[in-house]
Amino acid sequence: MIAFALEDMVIELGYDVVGPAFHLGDALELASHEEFAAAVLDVNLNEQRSFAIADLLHERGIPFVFATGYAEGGVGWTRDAMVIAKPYTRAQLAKALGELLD
Amino acid sequence: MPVFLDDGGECGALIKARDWSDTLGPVEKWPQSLKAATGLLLRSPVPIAMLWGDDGIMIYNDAYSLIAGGRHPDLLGCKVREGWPEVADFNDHVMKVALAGGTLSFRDQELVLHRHGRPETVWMNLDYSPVLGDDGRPAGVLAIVIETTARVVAERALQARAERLDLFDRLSRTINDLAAPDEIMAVTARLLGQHLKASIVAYADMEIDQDAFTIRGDWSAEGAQSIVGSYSLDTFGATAARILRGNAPLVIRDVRGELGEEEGAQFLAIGIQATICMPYVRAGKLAALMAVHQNVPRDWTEDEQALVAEATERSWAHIVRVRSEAILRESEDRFRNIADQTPVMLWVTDENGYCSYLNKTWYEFTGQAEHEGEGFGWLNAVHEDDRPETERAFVSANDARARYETDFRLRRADGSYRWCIDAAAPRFDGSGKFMGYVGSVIDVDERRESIERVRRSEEQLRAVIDQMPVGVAIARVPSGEIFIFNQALEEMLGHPLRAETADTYDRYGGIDDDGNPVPAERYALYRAVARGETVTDDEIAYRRPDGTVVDLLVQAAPIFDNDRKAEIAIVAIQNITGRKQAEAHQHLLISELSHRAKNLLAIIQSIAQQTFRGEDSIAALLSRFEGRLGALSAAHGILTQEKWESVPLRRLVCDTFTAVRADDDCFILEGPDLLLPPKVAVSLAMAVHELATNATKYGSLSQPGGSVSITWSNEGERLRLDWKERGGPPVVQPTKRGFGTRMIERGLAAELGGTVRILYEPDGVRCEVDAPLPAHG
Repeated sequence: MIAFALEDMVIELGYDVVGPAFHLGDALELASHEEFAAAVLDVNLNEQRSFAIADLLHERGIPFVFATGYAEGGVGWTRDAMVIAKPYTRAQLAKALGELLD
Repeated sequence: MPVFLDDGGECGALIKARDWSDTLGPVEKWPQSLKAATGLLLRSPVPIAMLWGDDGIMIYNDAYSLIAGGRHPDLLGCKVREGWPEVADFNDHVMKVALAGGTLSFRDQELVLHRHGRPETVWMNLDYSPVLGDDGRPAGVLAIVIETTARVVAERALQARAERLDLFDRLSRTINDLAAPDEIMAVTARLLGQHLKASIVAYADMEIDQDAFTIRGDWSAEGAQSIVGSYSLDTFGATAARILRGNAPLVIRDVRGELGEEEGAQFLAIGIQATICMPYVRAGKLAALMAVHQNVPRDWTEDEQALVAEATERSWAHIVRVRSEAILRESEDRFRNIADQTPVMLWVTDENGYCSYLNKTWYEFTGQAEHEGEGFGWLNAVHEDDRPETERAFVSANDARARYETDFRLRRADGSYRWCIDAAAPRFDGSGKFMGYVGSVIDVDERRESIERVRRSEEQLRAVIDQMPVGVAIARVPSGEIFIFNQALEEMLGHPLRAETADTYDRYGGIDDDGNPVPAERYALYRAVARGETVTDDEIAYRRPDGTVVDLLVQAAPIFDNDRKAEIAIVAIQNITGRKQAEAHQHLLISELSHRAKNLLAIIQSIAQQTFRGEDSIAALLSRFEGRLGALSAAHGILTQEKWESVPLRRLVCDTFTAVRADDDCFILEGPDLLLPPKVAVSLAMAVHELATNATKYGSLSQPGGSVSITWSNEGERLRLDWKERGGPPVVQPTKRGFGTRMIERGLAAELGGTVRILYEPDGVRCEVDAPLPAHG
């Protein structure tokens, strides 16, 4: 549901959407084969951490932002990454994507 | 020739031959009385001399010539006063008495004669009587002389021996009663002095340097001066010093004559002209002197020297005996004194096991009368029940001559019994001969009780420690030896806790953050034992032998006794692994709660975003929004009831459905019991809500008689769910797909990892779900 809201927001912000993916396997598939300019990664993908996708995106040089419901203290990925906290507003998302694609 | 001289022996012949013209005139012309008397004496076997006329012209026979000794034959015809000049006075007196007609008689008369050119003491029986002349008046003196010297000397020797025996007898009897060396020496000095008629008898102790000596006492005859005082041996001249240091007796008959004025000066200064100094030698050294002095020169006889030597020897021997007896007695007294004063009961037995001594402490303790415990009497004070065993232990030890220890109840003077320990060791004399036992008896009743008390309290302590829910160990200070630990600790650590020293604590399982074993100093108990620190709330991770790691909370402290000295240290350990996990779990829960709340908000935000769009009225949108929130809420309600673990599919569908349509006769649920994971449950609830809402608004439930059947199966590990509406108005394919549809088709499909299709069949909407049976856990 959140993904659909995100999808709507992204479309409304004027971007094309690839995805969304709800499972780690789907997401990895997308991350390794699809062409896209930026990604919004939920840290928790159906009870699984999305760090493997982050690693893949990092390797491919595709910028991304973590979205997480978990509070302070970072997301636990090994590298520094941009994070937006859920729930986020359209403005927060626009700012994050803007920075990623800058 | 005159006939009266014939047969007159040698003397008769000498008289005949002598020319008498100088004195009595020719023999032929002698008065008849002279001739007759001469004829008589010449024929006598008894020594006879005749002293004729006032001058006492000497005429004697052969028997007398022997007494005259070297003076014969010149003595014949001599005037008696000139012939015996050394006794002239004596003879003068004799002449006067006899010529006056008197007689004289002497028995054993002592005379000093020079018969052989030297003085000689002789004893004689002398009888003097007048010889009448022709005129009938005394004209000469007849002397019958019988020498008794041999007899007298023999008699005197006999007497001297008797006197010496008497001296030693008196000496022995007197000193036997004496114990003090000084008194013994004083008696010896006095008896010796009196017996020898000496001037001074002194006794002296030599100093260790063999020169200085002290005359500690003396006896002196009347008129003689005491010479008590300190002297130096060397000042008595080289001769005296040499002889005495050679441990030989010093005998001087005439100091002036033998030593001279100069060397003998010290003797002479203290009035000594003759001396016998008898050395007493001990261990080869001159130890003491006994000295007999005379203030005039004296011819010490062999007998006298021997006498001094023997008297001295006897006295010293007695002193030595008395001294050793005194030492023995003192030692005995001291033993008794110590034995009687000691608080321990002591006893001594002989080689037969017969008790010969029990100290005062025993008699005071038992109330037995003195000596009552001797022999085997002591057994009577032992408790009746303990007596046979006590006797047996003693007798068998006595036979084996072994050390032994036994305990028994001993009766006190007041009749009460006290537990005692009797311990004894065999005695042996210098040659290894068994002498019996010496033993001691100690009242251990109180100690027994206190030991029992300590043991009980220790037991209680151990029991308490064992019952404690925390792990406890006690170590000695400063060694660190762990000597008590409880079961709780053993269970907590997974092994018994033992150690000899604090340095070996590093064998235990404490680990640091990296999982490496920690050094001994890291342990709280080490700090308490080795540094006297009190350690509170020390947390340490501990790897047990089975590999599991537990978190421990440790308290440790030295335990101080009354002297502020620590002898033990205690450590108390709690396993806080559970608490740590609970804390972590709680932290996780809070974090999860926050995550879920945020997630929920994001979902609500998303639902709002999707709902509030399009041309419908605000009221309609709000109603729709409320419905969706309701479904979300219901799903969460079930999740909360199920503790967010898993949700029964039937209940989820039923609850969601009835939230939209309260009448439950318009839908059929059919399928096996299945459990769904939370996230899937929420998505499914939202999907059912959307389907139910659409069915109510546009589908089969929008008119009476319409129904929905929801059936599912789990064949082949796949979930197949079928939603089918029936009895509604003809289905119209919608022109645009709203949030609900998208959520159902894509959201649920994605969530389930399967396919979800909505089919607008003419008789009613159908929704097919085909997905792998979701794992949950």
